[in-house]
Amino acid sequence: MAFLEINNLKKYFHTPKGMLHAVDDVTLTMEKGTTLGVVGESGCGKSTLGKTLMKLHEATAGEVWFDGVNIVPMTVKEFAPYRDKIQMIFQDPYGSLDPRMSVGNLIAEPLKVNRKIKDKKLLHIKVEELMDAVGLARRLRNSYPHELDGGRRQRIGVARALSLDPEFIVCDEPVSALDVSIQAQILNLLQDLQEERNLTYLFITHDMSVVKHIADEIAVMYLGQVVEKCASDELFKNTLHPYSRALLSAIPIPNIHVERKPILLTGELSSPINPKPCCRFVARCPYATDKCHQTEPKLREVLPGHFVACHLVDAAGAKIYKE
Amino acid sequence: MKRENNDTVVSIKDLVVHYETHEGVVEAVNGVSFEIKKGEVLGLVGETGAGKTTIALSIMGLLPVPPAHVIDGEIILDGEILLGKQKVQKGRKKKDVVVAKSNHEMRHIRGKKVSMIFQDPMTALNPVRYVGDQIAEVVELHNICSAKEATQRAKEMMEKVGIPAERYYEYPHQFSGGMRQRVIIAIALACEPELLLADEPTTALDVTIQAQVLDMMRTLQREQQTALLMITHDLGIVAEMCDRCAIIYGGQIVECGDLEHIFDRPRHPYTRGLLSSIPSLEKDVSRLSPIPGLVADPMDLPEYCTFYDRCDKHCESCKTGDPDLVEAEPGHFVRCFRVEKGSV
Repeated sequence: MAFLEINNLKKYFHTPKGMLHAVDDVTLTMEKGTTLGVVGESGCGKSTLGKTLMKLHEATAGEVWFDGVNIVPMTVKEFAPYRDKIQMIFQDPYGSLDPRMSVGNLIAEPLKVNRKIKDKKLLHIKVEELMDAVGLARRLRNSYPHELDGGRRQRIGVARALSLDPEFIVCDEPVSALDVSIQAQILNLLQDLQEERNLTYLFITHDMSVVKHIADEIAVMYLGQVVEKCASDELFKNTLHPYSRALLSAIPIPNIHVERKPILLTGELSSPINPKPCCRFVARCPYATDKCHQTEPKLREVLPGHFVACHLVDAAGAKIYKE
Repeated sequence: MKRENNDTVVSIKDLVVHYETHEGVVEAVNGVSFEIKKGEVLGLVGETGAGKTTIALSIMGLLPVPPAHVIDGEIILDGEILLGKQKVQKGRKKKDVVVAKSNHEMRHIRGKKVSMIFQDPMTALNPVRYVGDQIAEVVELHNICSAKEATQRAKEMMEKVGIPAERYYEYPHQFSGGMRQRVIIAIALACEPELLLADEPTTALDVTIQAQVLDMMRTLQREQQTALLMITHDLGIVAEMCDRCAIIYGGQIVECGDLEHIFDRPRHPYTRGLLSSIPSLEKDVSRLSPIPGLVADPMDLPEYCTFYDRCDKHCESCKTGDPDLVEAEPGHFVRCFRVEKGSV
């Protein structure tokens, strides 16, 4: 069994207009020490997926096998020992830190809350170790978050996540609030930590160039569903789903010698509330056929390790639609 | 793409803007000069706090005074001086004072000759008015025409930016983010301004929507031959949209030139660092090479080269003063001592 297995995970929300299908039938597997990138546009359910894995949301249905145990039906008490192993890094380093706590206290907080280290001296040493690990100068121990820039605040977020020696970290857009030169520093830090500690990352982002850089495998999400999942290189070389193609072609490339022809999608995202039993992408898909309007495509393996949910890709991984 | 005409739409000379706050003086813009010609797109690239938005707000005359304070500089839009030095009698002596156009005068210029698109389409629209009316308002204000003609013009603009005219009588909350940004662009371009300032117009949008909006902006910009100042932090957008590009750091332009200069032959260490810190979609790099250190703090800029502390190529002579913007090759300007000495 793989390190993390997500089987048919669903998370629905009640809204006045009906059931909102935020995460709908997601099945993914991850091996230890790898990074799975989850990409998609706003509202596609990628953050909800991360939070459901953390049990910050109660899953509507489905299973999450973490290291051989299903964590979905667990009560809060039963889940407590697993909390240490599953941690999260949040997007906004401005909003996720208590402005009235010093850097040292912020990093020590998870250790105190979980009663890991009770001795003050040992706690002090552990905090300094963590600050070294994430590249924060020890003199910043008594500073407050407002005195620091975004990059250093995000380092605090990383240190907090690391404090309980987790095995699995959900990174929810950890670099999208940062400037490019700082973004590269944090990405390098995350990679180094992964190598040192054999961490497994679920890396949620909307930035394709970041995900290509950091992820081993990529899952493309659209309206609560995974539409394509494969190794990072494979996705960029052999993009099968029409949505992934549009997404990749829409990225502006900082190179003036590359002729880019974006596939311009017409229309906007359809609503995730009470979706019809058809392909979710059908309203924006330039190649949609009658079949796409009638039945929902299932995620299936068309090439070794390459999963796609589209009627227009045949069982041998060939595109039936014409570009 | 270069156009062979020399009519400058806007020229900015030695603009210096400081914010005077309780904690100290924020030196936001320190001597920025550039020109944009008719139909030209200039990209202004920089990180948070580099002074990009302050430059745009100075052109619009929307700087919050106080705390903002224009120390020096001149802005000429289409032959009209928006901001300039005047001799003012002060006691016995005549003194040079930077005088900006009054708010009243600017009202006739804003929206008609220069428009601005803001980053957040959620907050730039009035939530309790029809979107159509919000477009018609600009036309009515500036072109003395009847309400009926203004409505007609608003509907034309909606079609141009890709919104069906039937949606005239809808409220902003009924529109998605991308659609709202289209409304904003329609408002900005309704009076066919000479200059459009776009401050991170697509940062809040998803990539597929961004591609649609950029495509539409470029079509309209070419059609109306508007000069466009594209403020962004995304070099990909620059490569796609712009004719020329200026890289700004610590409130100064550190490198400026055609796209070939910036992307193929960058000379300033900061430009090089920026380009190498972006994860590439084409090449496989196992580790990124970020620029070390932190973004220059505009509250505490050094006397010498602002990039000195993060520069991997600095030498002792870099500390002797602030380098000038020198022309390294025709049309390619760099602010670096090493380029000045000809060693790069």
